[in-house]
Formats: sequence, structure tokens, C-alpha cells
Amino acid sequence: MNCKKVRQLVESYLLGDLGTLTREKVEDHLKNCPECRKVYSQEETFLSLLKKSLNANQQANWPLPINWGLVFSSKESKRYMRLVPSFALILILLVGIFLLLSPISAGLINKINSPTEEGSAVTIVSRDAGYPHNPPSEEGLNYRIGFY
Amino acid sequence: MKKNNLFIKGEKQSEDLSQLVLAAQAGSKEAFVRLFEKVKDSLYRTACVILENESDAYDALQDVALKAYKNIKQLREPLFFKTWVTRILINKCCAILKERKKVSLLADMSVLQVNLRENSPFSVGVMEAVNRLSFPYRAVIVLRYLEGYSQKEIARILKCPVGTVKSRLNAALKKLKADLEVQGLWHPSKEEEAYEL
Ligand SMILES: [Zn+2]
Repeated sequence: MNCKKVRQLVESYLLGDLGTLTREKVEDHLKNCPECRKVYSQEETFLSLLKKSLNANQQANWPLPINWGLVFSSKESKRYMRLVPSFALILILLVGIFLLLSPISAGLINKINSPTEEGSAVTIVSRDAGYPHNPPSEEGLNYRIGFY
Repeated sequence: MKKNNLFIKGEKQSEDLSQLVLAAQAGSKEAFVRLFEKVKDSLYRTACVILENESDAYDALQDVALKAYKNIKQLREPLFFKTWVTRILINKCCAILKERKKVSLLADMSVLQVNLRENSPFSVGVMEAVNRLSFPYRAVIVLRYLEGYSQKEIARILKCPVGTVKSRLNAALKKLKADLEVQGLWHPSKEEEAYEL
């Protein structure tokens, strides 16, 4: 193994990432090459300082507890949400069928189609209600005679 | 065949983890909670360094719990739960940083909020240097030197070839050393300069 290769592997060697065979080759080279040993020891210093520094800044930082209610409810509400469009469609269809078939809807349609009938009914009522103060019309007289 | 104690212990632990994953995939909320509690601290540490902010890190953690629970059935290999969930976290951190870039264009806000406690100058310098790294470099440094993942595992987390992880690690270390050298905290040897790592 040459110097260049060894220096490429120093990081993996230090972090225990190498297989036995490669590890032994690196160790053999380091024993016999003082230049690579210097590189190795400096890399070892740097990486251990780096690890220590990263960890030092993290000690005593514990996360707040996870809000599990939020986690579990999100999935259930999503499941319901997926059903909302189909519910809406069924509801619209049912209302449509009901309107088309029911006799009440037929009556409603009749009323909407003949607004004059409704209008005259209202005028009769109001004429009757106004009777004591106003002179009775012919129609009103006929009505009273008929009643007695 | 004889196995030493250490090996048996490791195997048993991973078996527990696999069983929890399988139970969670079958719909057990309790199993999912226990599973997530096992990796929560590691995820939080990672997010704190990448995001430089504890409240953002907590938001990321909460979001990762939600996404992981929703998608747990997509995890094929139960043993890869931790790397799988770490990938979700890294993606979330990336999204938060992108969003923050948009915001900080409008209002120049300082994001360095991780408490720098009574640490050595080197340690403080390292954190500042890490914070100056761009996201891909910061991510590999944190995964490798804070969480101790192997290059292979990092490749799985980041969904990239091991070669890419190697070159990113080398580049990130080089940048860190250069930064610390400017800060007067690191003095490289001549031997190292002579060879490109
Ligand atoms: Zn050498």
C-alpha cells in the first residue's frame, strides 16, 4: 500500500470503518512510514477534537416530549378527510333523487310555476281583514250573506 | 457453534428493534412510540447542529415523528429504521434551511441560537466553523462525527454513492481545518498539505 492510499484511508481507519485485511495493511504501512504516522497522529487529534466539540455543545440538550396526540390524530383525520368527497357526492345524489321523485317537490314546482294563484289568495285575505273599516265590496257582501 | 456474549447481545437488541418495527407496521401505536423514543435524542442532536436552533430542531423532530408514523409501512427492512428516520430528518432540515434562506433575504436575522456554554475556544470555534459550512457538508460532518454513522450508512441516509460521501467528508474536513486555521485554532503539518486526502 502506498502513502497516498494510506492517507485516503486514515479517516476510515480511525473511525473503525475498515475490514480486517485493509486495516492490517494500513497498520503495516504506518509502522514503516514516519511521514504517514505524522499525518495519522494529526488526523487523530483533529477528529477527536471535532467529535468532542460537537458533543460538548450538545450535552444537556434534551428535546421536549413529542406531542403524540398530534402525531396520531393527524393520520386519523387524514383518513376521514379522504372520505369527505365521497360523502358529499352521495349526499348530493340523494337530495337530487328526493327532489325529483317526492310529491312535495312536485307541489313546490307547481307553486313556483303559478305565482298568480298565490297572489290572489293573499289579496282575498287582506280584503277580508280590512272589512270593518272599509265599505264592503260586492264580493264581501256575497260572502257574508252566504255565511249567514 | 459458539458466539461471544457481545455478539449475542447485539443480535438480541436488533431483534427487539425489528419486532418493534413490525408491530408498528401492523398498526401498534405503543410500538411506534417506543421505537421513536429510541432514536429521538440522536435525531434531536443532529437537528440542533444542522439547524443551529433548538426550537426549529424540536419542530423538525415533531414533524419527523408524524411523517415516520404515516409512512412506517413503506420501510422494507426493519433493521434500517434508524437510517430511514434519519433520512426523513435530513430532508426536513434541508427544507427548513431553504425556507429560512427565503425569509432571511427579507429580514436579516441571526440564526446562531444554540447555546455555546462554557466550552473551550476550540470547541466554540468548531461550532462556528460547522455553522459556516453549507448544508451537504454540515450534514455529513454531523452524521459522521456526532452520530458516528459509517460511510455506508450515511450513503443510505443521503441516498447517494459511498464515493460521494467520501469526497464530501474530505472536502468538509478540509474546509473545517481551513476555517479553524484562520481562527488560529488549528495548525496543519507540512506532511498533510503535501498530499491531497
Ligand atoms: Zn507513507
